Amino acid sequence: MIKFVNVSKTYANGTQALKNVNLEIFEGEFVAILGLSGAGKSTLLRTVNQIIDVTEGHIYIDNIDVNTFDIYGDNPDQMIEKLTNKGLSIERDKLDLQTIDVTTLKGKQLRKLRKNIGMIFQSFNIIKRMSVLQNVLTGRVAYNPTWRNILGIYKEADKQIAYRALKKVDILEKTFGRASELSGGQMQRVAIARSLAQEAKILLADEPVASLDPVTTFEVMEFLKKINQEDGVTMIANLHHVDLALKYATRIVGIKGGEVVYDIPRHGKSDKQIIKDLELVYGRAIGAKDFVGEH
Amino acid sequence: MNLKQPEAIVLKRPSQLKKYVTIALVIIILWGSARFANFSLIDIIENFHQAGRLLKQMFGKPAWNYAPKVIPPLLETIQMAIVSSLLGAIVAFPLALLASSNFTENKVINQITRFILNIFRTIPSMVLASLFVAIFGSGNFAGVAALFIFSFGLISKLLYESIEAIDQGQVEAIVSLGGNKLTVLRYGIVPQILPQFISYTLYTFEVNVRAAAVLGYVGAGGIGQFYERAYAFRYFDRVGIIVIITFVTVLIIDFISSQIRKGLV
Repeated sequence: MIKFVNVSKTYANGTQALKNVNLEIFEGEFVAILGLSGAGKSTLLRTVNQIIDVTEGHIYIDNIDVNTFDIYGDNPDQMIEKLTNKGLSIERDKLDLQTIDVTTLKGKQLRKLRKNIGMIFQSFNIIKRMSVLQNVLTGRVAYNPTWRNILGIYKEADKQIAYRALKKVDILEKTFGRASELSGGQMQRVAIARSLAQEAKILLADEPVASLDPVTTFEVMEFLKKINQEDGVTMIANLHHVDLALKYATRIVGIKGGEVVYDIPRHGKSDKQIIKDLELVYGRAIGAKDFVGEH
Repeated sequence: MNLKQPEAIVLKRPSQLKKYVTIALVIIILWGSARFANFSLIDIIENFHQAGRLLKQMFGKPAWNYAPKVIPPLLETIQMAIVSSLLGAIVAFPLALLASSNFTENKVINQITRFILNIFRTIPSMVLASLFVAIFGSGNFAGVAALFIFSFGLISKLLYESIEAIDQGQVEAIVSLGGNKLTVLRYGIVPQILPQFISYTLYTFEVNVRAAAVLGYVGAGGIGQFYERAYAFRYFDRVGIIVIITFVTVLIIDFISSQIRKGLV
């Protein structure tokens, strides 16, 4: 579980991006965060992996091994079994699982934690002047010593992980192509493959489809859903469009002016009721521009 | 509003005073400078025939048989430019990283580094060369040292500006993957600036070839020494051939280098 307790963030220029946020996110959820631009969605997402630090409050993550800073989720035994099936040897007795306030982590500890948390971005943020394969292999940087990363020499096992990740997002044929030659949708799939290679347990998606056309949007969302359901990756996605949240999320969180003003499981209410409720989050009526598909 | 009888629109023109003051100032500065430097158009016109005679001596019948002797010092000049540009580039890279605020997040270090770079870049390479000739004695080493300092000053200034202009998103991605500072540099920054870095190094090489050609005048090696000697002994036909060969070489190097640079960025 990821637990936000009274989290606030004020930037150096005085903008208050988050106000007293309290939120609990469980393993395997697909949480859609909705809100207007500037509501604090991006800031909220970046506090989870501490790319942005908080001004006040705590963010606790359960079952973190204090030596490796790996996250073992809400049910560690199940996670260990899953990882063992993947071929990793983990000794349950040697793990020291504790609830850790990630806002207190620094340097190496923070980098170890980030290994577990993937991130995809609106502008994809893949390294355009490198090949698709090299990009996916950057997902392995936290698993390898610095000298390997600097020289760019990767183990065959890491390459196999990269190939499998590319296959999963259906872009294996582009493996040796240059990343800059891809279309937007393909770039985002490479970015997803990078997170898969990272073997992330939590995936933060910051407006993952905002730069894509409607057809590619649904393609990318389907991949996120697949990773969420098949691999049990906890998904926290900032979304712009209401229908995407309704279609893919298991829970919808609304943010307005840095505060969580709405939080509801997807299946608690009818679509119509949720759309009506979201007027509170958006501060206006929900219209056609808030939908990707036809409504 | 009555369209049939439109009222005349009266706009007040902004004052033209600033424009006239500027023109007057430019004229005063030009005239003053010319007076101060004893510049006289009449002198130029009166001595025109002398310039013509000199040019005729130089290029009327260049000493083509002297050409083979010019080649070794010319190659030496190019070598000086290559060595100083490469060394400059190697030293410039870490300094540019220290100067860029997005890689080194410490304003004091940024400012100190930039200040040092500015000093080195501002000193003309001729002055540096004279200084090094005084310290190390005349010869190629003094020239290379002078050009090296100029090179790293120039490359690091251009490079740190490029580093500050990179797409920060790619850096953020590597940070989010758990990469440390060196890994961020390797994947988040280097791929974005490498073409510019090579381009700046080539550009500096072009500038250095031209600078190295005249450094010999203060005894810092290269073809300039031959030029100076020929001129001192009034062998104008030799001066002519040195100028022609240097000119053609610089032109060719500039052309090739700029073609490569065009392909890079």
